Amino acid sequence: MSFTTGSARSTLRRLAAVPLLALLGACGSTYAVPDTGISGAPGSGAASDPEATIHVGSLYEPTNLSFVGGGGQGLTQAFYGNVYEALFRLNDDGSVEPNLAADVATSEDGLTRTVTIQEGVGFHSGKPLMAADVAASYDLFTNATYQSPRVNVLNGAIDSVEATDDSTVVFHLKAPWIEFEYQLSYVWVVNTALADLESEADGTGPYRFDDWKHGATLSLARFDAYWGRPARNGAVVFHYFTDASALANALASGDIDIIAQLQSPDSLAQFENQAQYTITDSSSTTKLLLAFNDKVAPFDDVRVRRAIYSAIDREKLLRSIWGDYGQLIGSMAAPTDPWYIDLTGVNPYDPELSRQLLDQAGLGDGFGFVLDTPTYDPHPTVAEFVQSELAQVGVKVEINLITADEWYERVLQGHDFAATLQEHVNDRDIDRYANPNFYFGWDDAEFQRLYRQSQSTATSAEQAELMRQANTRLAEQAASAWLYLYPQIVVAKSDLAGYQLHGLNSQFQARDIVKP
Amino acid sequence: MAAYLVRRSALLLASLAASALLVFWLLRILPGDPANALLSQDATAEQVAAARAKVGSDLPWGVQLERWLAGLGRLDLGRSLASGQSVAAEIAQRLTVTLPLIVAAFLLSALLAVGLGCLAAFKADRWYGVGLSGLSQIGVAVPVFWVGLILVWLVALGLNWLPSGGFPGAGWGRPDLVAAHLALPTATIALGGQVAYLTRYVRAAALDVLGSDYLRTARSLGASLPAAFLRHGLRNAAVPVVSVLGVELGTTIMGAVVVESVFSLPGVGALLVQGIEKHDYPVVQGTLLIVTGWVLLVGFAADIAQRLIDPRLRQHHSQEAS
Repeated sequence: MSFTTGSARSTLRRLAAVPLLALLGACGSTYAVPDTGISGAPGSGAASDPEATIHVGSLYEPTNLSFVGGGGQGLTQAFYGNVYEALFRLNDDGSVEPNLAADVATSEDGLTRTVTIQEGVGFHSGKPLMAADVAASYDLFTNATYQSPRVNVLNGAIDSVEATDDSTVVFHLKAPWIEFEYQLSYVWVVNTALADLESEADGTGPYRFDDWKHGATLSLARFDAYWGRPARNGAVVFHYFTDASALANALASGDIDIIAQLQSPDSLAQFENQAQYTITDSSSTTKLLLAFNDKVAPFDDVRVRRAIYSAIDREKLLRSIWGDYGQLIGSMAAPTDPWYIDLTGVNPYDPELSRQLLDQAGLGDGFGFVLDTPTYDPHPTVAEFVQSELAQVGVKVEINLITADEWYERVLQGHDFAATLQEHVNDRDIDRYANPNFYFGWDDAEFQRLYRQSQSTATSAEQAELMRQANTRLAEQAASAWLYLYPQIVVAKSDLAGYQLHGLNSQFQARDIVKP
Repeated sequence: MAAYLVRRSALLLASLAASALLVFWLLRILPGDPANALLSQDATAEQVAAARAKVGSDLPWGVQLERWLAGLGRLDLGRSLASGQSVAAEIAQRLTVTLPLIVAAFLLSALLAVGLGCLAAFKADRWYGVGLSGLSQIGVAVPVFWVGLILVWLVALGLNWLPSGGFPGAGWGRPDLVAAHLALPTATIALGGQVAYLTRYVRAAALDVLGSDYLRTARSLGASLPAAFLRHGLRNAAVPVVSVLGVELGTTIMGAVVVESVFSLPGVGALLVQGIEKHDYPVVQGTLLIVTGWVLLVGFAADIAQRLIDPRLRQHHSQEAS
């Protein structure tokens, strides 16, 4: 899943080879292969209906349709790779490949990236795609004040963007940047001439936006003049639910074909061991954290952080919440991140070790702290578990339930907390630890050095190697206690095939889904 | 009657204004800022400030109130902070789900309740009369969401007769699908307390009438019980029942919040919940104003209806007024 970027050379050929390798690789098929005998991989000759409508059930309705207006993960789910495309595409296995970019050249000093866009691409409205549209989309995205988690990253690395002719976009970087392709995969190319981006859409993807009934459904229809490999189904309808059991019922009663992301362990039972449903369990990128305020005593002491981490039996916690699903992690990386390594052994569950570490830190007589706990599931349950585990090593936890808003204002923005529980959903978000002003407050020179170095490496392999070192450093320092990685469970009718399994950042690229 | 109408209308308007102010104030003393919904985890201070300026949450309450009231004066409920869409248009869209739902549930409940209530009263000494009365007691105590879950389990998942939730994308373009999707929610509201509650009122009112002197007199003059009840009793029994019906029809819209959530219906209740979660002030204010308006208006209509049915009330008031 890695690719390289040499100086002043086209990287396209190698980039294009990546997804193929990933498919053939040992990490397993990217696509669901249900037990009906129909191959799930796209391109197979299964008897499917090219005009089929795929009904997708989701709990995440977009807030609006604007990628710079806080549309939320529901918008990514419905639109990324479906209605809108970017210069690069983030694949389901975490790899990145060119999408609207036909060719990328890097200057000798690594400071200029020249992107040639695909020929013959048109927006759904019929307007041809020009390099100026890419530059305008980039400017819109990075000048937005609202929710676009990548804006600060992009602005920190890219100086300016200009369209030099109809098909060439030049990016001027502040420093050589290995993450260029990956980060640009978040910048959707939109028709910026649209009057109202919040309720209209005009992209270049395999589907055009058809209709949105607020609170109920959002429909996409196949775009017949699509420039690339066309969708293998006729339409996709997202059905929105506010309640996880209502969502499960909709699949059980046949109203929908697939649940893109099953969030409630309780509703799994009705689909288990039934031939007509296929459950696939892959790794997600959602990490549950017991996050310390690393700037404030006693959690500014690595021994205390490690003691707390080692006192919690994560295996038992995960089983009690997710049964046989999900997995343990030892740091802020998921298996789809290029620098993932198994670090669960760095801070093993070992109450005796925990007591020793507390002794060394001068807290042998125990201490207490307040755990700010969001009121919604699974946090209160997890807080109680943590409370009883830590009581065994003499640490007294006071659970303080707070609303999402209070968390946002007091913890995330105000940094006014001792420890808190929170889920972090994005892929490759280990970089949060490189920012000492993030709410973790982790200010570690060694980690920051490794991270900075990794950013200006020449190849993805070198970047990954440095990031693995950074990752290990993070685990050894127990900057947070990473409790577990959520499972990514997809439940679908067994005759459906070709859907994505990991759903990174909640994306749901639908064009390869086939239905009889 | 005219003087009464004027006074009652003035009361209606005053209640609406008071509830509008209350809603405005309550929303703002809640912790949390509507700008948060627009911000990412790593938002900078400038981004926070800009988002607050965009949604207007940085303005003093007085200015916010002034703007909202000025909008109301133009019948403009403002725009959603989250979606940027017109709140009035959004509510109008949602009402195409919620209004049919509550009116259908109400009609079903009223019909069942009048029938069952009269039966329970007429046959108060028989086992099924007593049984009905007992059942209605239990029915009142059953929570509405539980009825919903049971119905989904039985009818949608077990028998596969009706969809378990959601609303057809084609909307009212496909009335058959709409009817199928609203059938279970309608039954849920009716069976989840409304029928039972109304049945108890109808039964009590009917029993009251059945024990009255005028009915005994009518029967002693040779009229059969059903004939006497229809001719002399029904109108009398209707007076208390109409006022309860008014309250029920009004408050069913609140119950819709729960039912719409169980069935994932895109109605006004779902909009309200969504608005509260996102601190979307204009949406919550607009929705609550419409809901309150509905409750008050139905109450108003029920009062008028009562006066039309019962001449004694009209007389009483005109004497009072003179």
